[in-house]
Amino acid sequence: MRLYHSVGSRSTRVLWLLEELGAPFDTTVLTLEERRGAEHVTRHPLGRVPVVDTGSGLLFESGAICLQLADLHAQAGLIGPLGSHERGLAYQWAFYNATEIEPGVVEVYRFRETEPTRADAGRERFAAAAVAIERHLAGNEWMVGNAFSVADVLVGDGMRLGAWMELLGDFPGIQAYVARLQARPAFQRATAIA
Amino acid sequence: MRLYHVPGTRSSRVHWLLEEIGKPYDLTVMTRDERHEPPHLARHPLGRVPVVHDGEGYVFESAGLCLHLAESNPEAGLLPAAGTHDRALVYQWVFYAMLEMEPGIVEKYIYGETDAARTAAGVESYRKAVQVIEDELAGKDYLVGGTFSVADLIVAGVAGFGGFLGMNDGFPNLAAYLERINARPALLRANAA
Repeated sequence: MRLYHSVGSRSTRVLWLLEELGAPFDTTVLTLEERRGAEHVTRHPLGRVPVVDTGSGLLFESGAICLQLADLHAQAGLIGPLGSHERGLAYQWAFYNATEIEPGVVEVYRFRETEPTRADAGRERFAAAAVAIERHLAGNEWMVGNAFSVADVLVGDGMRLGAWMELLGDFPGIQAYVARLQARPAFQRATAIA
Repeated sequence: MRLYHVPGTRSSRVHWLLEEIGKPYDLTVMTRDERHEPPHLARHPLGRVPVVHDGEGYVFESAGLCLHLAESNPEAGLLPAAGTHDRALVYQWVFYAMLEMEPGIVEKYIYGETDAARTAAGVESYRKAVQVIEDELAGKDYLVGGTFSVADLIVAGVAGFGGFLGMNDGFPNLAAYLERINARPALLRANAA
């Protein structure tokens, strides 16, 4: 298993999950220039990270990589059994994070200095999606069931990006959740590498 | 199994998938306005469709639902076995369609008449992402494992929306792929319902 990683990117969540799983892996750290270089474009046609080489082949999209790692280490119990409602919820939150939470954060990140109106629309979009997470966390410690899972890696990392863009002011439950996740030894190991 | 559905939205994907599976299911067809009323807000916090009740509880997100329902009906053969590289590639293309392809289409759909710069950026980002699919389809009928899977349902569904907005010129492999997939009886049944 080899992870192609850039500091401060969506590959951090894969690094974190690998640390949670405790499985051996190699890391290749790429600069922005190296990501756009000819060699990395053979791994990801748009020059993005993360990419992993699982030994069976190359794989991209951080959400897909996290689901696959959870499947490959099924004994770690970070995703529900095949066909279960719990597993359906893992898929639900993986896509909710990717399509409802993160796009608002990215709009704020990209436009906060150049197009304030567009950044504000991103803030509103994030807040609308975050309300559902805040409500969920009011009665639950984790996103699915009673235990930490791959859904927490994905939603947790999306919310960590939200915290970075200072979007969590109205969401004390999410703030506490992010703090809880950041206190995990695996998270600390992953971000020490990064 | 019950699908909460509004025709002409992302719930059409799940409706199509249920027809591919071919087992009985219940369908609640809603209006766009009903999505934002209290009964549906209890099912989805933002008032969106699709939502499915899978027998144990509500689940939402169209792409996640397609994976969940295909996995719950393995005899339909729409999803490679968990832990295989083909399964991982299905995950990859489903996320890719939702994150690299669909946002550019939505930009054109929303801003096509009002914001030329935003529309152009959306079209450019979509076409860059679709070029990857075009290259991937060279010599292939389907994206993963030589057979129709959830990856094709999502990628073709999203690219079909792009085609509807006139964004697919100059992608011959994609055109042949969409023609092949659009002829599937399950899709025709879902569209006729």
